[in-house]
Amino acid sequence: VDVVAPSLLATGFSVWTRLSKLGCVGVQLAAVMSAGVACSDSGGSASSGDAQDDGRGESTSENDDADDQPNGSDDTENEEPEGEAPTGSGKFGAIWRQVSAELMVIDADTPIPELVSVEIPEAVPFPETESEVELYEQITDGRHVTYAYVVGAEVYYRITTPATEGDDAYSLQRGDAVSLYTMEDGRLTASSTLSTGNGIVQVIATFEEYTGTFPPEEWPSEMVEGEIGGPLQ
Amino acid sequence: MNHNDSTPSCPAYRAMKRGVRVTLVGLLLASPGATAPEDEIPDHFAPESVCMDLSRDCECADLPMMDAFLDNQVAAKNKWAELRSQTQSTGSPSTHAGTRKAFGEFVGDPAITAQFATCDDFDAGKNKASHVAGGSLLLGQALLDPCFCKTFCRDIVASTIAHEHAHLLFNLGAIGIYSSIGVACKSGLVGSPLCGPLDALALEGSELYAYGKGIEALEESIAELALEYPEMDCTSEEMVEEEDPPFEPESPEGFWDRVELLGRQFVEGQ
Repeated sequence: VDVVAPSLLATGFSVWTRLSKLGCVGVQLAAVMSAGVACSDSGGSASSGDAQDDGRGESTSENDDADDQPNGSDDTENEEPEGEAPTGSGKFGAIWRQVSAELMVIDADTPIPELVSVEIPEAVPFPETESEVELYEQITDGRHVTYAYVVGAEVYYRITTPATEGDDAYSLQRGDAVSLYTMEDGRLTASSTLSTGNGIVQVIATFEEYTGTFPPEEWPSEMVEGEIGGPLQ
Repeated sequence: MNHNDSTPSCPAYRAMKRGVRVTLVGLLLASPGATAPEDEIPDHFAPESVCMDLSRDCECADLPMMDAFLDNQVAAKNKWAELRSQTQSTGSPSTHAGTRKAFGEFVGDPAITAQFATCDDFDAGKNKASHVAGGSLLLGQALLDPCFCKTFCRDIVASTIAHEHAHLLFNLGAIGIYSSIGVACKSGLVGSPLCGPLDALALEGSELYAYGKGIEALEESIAELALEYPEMDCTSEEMVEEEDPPFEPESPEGFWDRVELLGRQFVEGQ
């Protein structure tokens, strides 16, 4: 990895890139956020063109299926279930669940970045509530899709965000966070950065492909759909 | 929207447009709440479809309140933007609760609170202008105070529902990013002072997004309403002022007497 870092921020990303051994993801994100950072190592990224083309091609039908879908388990017994993920495809268009994350935390009081690994439970806590949420993600037809089910709810959610296609990657913005999605050895990886006045957190999330019927049978049939995205005005 | 042909009370609105604007002082909040935990949504709140049925079509006479409500939403959004800017630049407010408390200092339009209180079964202990709506994660829809539904016209209610929907979608759509940090912070793996400010930033982002969507919906409704009354001055556009008559100076008192005297002196040579 060859990094030209014009700032402390980029230096932090460089360190992170070297320590995390996660290829070039961090550097690619830095490149998104500030020009002047170069990355000369593809770091084992999935061979791009195929992944993108295939992923998007498959996902169009998945998207349609998902739209038509929520039929519970009955419809899935005798025929190929609508909306079933392209199992084992290892492409952006598959259905993915986050399983772990590597965090790099830089705050004003601690010049040395703090590195932390976390395992992500099957249902993540919803902030400020007792609720837990099952989350799945997908990139299809140039859009990032979040499928969310709040445990115990009468509905599940399908939320899309426009994604910008880059070199073997998709970038998108939700609120204050910019995320870069790439394929690393057949697994979806997302690198996101959040900053406040007193520091920066970079999250590199690793996903596992979901291979079951989708949506899961336990989910309700009613879907709430909507779109978010773009910078906050 | 359906509107009858009778002329609504637009002179009052014209007067307001000429400068008799309500001053933004007092104790109003009347700003919809963020996605709330289910147990924080009062039992008497009604589902959005019921609320829309309880409400009524907006008419020309509602425009002053629609404008006031819109102004209030814009002011509230600006307050959230200010808080977000502080968090981004200084890391403060430093918690979710702190940023809520800071927003609590926002002062809204008392005219909105006054209209809310005109509800026929208004109960000050139950109906709070500071909390008229919430988003239910479990139902995937907004729940609203029936008094709000009954006292405000449908476009205002619809914009509030749009606000709550935006909260639900934004919070769930962005939770994937925040969940890793949340797990790390909650488990104590990260002891960084960043946990609080990042939490605050998530709330501020959600509020900014939701206010933006609500404002967008209400602006569209106001524009549509103005189009439905093309023959009237029921618009949000600047009123055309009547032209003042041309300036005609009057002669000062005794002017002509003095002219006559001067003329006589000139003729008679005195």
